[in-house]
Amino acid sequence: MGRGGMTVVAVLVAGAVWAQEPAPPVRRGPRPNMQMMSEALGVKCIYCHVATKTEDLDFRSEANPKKQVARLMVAMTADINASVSAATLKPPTDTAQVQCVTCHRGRTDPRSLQEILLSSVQEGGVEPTIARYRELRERYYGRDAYDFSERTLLLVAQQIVERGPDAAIALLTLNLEHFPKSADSWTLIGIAHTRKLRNDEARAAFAQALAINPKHSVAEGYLYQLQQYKRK
Amino acid sequence: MAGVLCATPTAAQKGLETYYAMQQMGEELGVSCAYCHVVGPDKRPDYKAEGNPKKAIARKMVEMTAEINTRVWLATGGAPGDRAVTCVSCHRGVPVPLPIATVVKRAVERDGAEGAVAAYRALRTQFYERDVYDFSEAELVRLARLYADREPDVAIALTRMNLEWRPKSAVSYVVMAYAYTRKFDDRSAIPLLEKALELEPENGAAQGYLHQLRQFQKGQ
Repeated sequence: MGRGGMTVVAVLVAGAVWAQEPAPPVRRGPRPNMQMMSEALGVKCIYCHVATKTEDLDFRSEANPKKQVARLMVAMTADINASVSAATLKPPTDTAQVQCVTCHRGRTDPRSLQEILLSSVQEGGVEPTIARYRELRERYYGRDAYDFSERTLLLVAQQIVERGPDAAIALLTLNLEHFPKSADSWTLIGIAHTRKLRNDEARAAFAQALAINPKHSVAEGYLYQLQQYKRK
Repeated sequence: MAGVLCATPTAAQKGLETYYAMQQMGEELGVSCAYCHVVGPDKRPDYKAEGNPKKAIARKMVEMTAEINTRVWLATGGAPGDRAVTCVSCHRGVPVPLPIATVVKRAVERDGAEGAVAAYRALRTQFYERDVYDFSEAELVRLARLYADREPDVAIALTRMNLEWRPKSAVSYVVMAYAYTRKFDDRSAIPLLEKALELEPENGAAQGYLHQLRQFQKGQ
């Protein structure tokens, strides 16, 4: 009798046992720390669970699809920790532990500020983007959710300056509110003006940049270029 | 990417792609080439050498990142390429991404209360506006509370530091006072609670502790 026969026997035995006994209880791992999860994502129970008619929560219900997403994410987090440990050849106690909060940082949407602002300006224009920046800064400044340093708005403006120079100028002006000494912001404002052939405004902006940092080579270069054009 | 656009990417195209990817990784971890590459006697990185173990770790991390992206879009029902996780999602511009609570814990173990304060200050000076560490009052007070019972000196040092930046923080005075009571130093605790009530007359915790401490003093 080959291996196939053994399998058939095993299946028959298992089947017979299963037929006699009530369904065995599903073995579950330890329940994830729900408080920690909700804090990490900045949500309440209802984000993944469903409410009954009496507005109690039905924790057993599977009707909210977010619950299954959460399960997959929890499993993924465990695997990430195993991968980090395997990659660094250190025991899990010695590596930085990845938890929900490592990426989520109190938000459901873990995208960076740069990504959020870039998609906002491309989809909804510059006004709502500025409002969004102010709102997020008001709420999260000093915490670890978003990068409010000088470079975030610079990077967004840099990516849109060719197609949307005026939107870029608006974002850079916002940056100058918080970083009045940002020579890079003035330089990029100057570049944005050159995209619209507003040479006088561009010159003024490069001059501002050089007033802050006399050695700003990009501002210097553009200014030199504009002066050369003027001669002709 | 170039492979999709051009049938046969040239060596130069491949090289440029790698160059940009490496620049990106370096920025996302806040490191330069020598972090993963072997540096030769001429102080230039030898990109082909495998002598630096960080290089192998980096490869595995890059593989893991690809896997995370696949799993995220499978779980959330997105499309490939959506909401991509990159190195920076966890690393945030530092090679070893640790929560501020862990940084403080390690500093306490190594150098005690003053070491923890020094480590916190150094990170706050460097990273305050960024998205690396949580420098909020809520997190600092939470940490102070964690230490108040077992290591009151740490709680006292952390709340004192918080008061430098937020002099009207009644909760800092309350937690500091509580930490002093753990050292049986009620005399230091009482004026701190009075100060908390001066800032927040309705502060119930301050009222309660102060009442209790005054009762103890009467009893002595």
